[in-house]
Amino acid sequence: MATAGEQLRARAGEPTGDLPPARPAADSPVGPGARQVAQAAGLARRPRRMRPPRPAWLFLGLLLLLATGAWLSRPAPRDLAPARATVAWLGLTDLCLTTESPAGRNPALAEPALPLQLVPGGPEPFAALPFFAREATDARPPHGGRITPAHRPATAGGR
Amino acid sequence: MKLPPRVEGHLALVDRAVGSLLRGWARALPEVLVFTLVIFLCGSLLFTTDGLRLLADQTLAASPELIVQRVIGGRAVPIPLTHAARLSDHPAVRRVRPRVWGSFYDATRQDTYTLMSYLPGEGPPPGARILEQTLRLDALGADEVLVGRGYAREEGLRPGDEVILTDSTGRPRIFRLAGLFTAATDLWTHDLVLVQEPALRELLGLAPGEASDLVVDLHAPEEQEAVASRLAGLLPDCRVLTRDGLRRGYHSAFGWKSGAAMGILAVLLLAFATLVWSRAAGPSQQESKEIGVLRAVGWQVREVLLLQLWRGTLVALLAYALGVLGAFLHVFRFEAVLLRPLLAGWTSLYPRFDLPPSAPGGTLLLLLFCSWGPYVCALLLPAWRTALVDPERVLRGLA
Repeated sequence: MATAGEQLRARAGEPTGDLPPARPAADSPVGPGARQVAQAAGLARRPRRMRPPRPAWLFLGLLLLLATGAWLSRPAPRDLAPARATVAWLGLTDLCLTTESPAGRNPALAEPALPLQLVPGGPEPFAALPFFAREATDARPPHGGRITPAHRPATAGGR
Repeated sequence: MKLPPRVEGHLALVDRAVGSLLRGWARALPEVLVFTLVIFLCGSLLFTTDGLRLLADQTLAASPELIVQRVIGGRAVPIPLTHAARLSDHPAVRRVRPRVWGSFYDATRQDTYTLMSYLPGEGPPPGARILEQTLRLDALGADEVLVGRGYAREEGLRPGDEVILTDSTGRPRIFRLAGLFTAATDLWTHDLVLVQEPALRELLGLAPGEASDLVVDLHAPEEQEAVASRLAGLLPDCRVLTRDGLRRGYHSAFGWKSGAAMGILAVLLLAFATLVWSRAAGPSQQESKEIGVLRAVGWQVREVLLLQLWRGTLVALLAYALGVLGAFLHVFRFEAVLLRPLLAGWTSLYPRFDLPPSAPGGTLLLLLFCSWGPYVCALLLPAWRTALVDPERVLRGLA
């Protein structure tokens, strides 16, 4: 009477205790096909199953893979010398990122972002216009505005 | 490899957390997806804004320290060149250059181009590689122009072609295209048409004794704010803009737009907050049962909380890594195609330019802690409440 373990092994196709121990067949000198014969006879060694990797390592590997991808997608440092030379040569002050038509040139030119731009506190489309330069011009407004002692002309006997 | 028992214990918890996530993938997957989307959009926004600020800083460093504009009724008007002479006398001023510039609206293509002048004798420094062909600027004729690549592409022009510009009287003037600016200068020259000064004066109808504005170089650039105040006092009808003011202006503009874009993303952030809140309100039935079983077989509260901590950390880290990778690809490989129109402003001729690598550690850490922190807290709080209850009551569904 086979034990429960032997019955399970027999159902799984594994050698039971009654059979002789398995012999290596991979390097059999009898030629090709011997391995299949040996496997059919149940004499071949059961292929060794690798231990599955831990889920923690798999997860860490996935994170490393993603981090490597992010690192590789970083652009290389750019050569800014041509842009700087152009800016210095022409005295440029504005990036070609916004059209300056509504505020600096022709107010009649409509553009899609206009309702969001020409509002109090809204971003000025042309960077070199007053919204951005408020701090620099606070010292002395060109027309009107609050008069501070700094604006008063010095008298002949004054400081 | 033999690991210390403490590390081995944490690895076992991670193993269990991964298994728990895989078993409950239907619940974990939407969390990871929403989380990833939030990180991706916020990361793209921050990286693009930082990149634009850095780009403006890097290139504005070469621009003149002061810009002097004449203002009448709040509008910039041509400035007389006598003002330049008055400014030159100031001891802090190293050089004053009049700029002649304007714009040209092409009604056919509905594009606005920038017209700018240069003096034939004043060229860029040799070897600057700003033009695609090696040209001798002093050898160019008065009817020859240099243009940016955006203008040339829009008009379908090649060197040697004719360029037609309309002058202030409405007459067309024919120029010849002598050369193109290189792609490296696109951010500044994309819509630029560079014309010799006398020709541009005729085009714009600007009198010989006037300029559009003046740019001023100083002996001591770090004193630009103080000198600006002095010069503003010297010329009562002018305003003086400083380079630092422009730089702050760009920063505030990009910050303002970034904030506006964040407002548009608020719906998504709200969805994420709702998700976190629902997690904080209480664990699911399955999670409660899992905690109850763990407590029933002898797990301590600390161990249960550690398991939940690892579970939340795994979800947050996976979403963070996916979101940052997506944001990097979006911003640095695909030129922030989703956000650039919002952040860069509107123009008919968008230049193509690569944002500089500007993903500082601070931004990455900010993203990590703003996402990981709330989410893990939202997991730990209900798990802690459940773990304190008698396991039998939890398993019977009474708690």
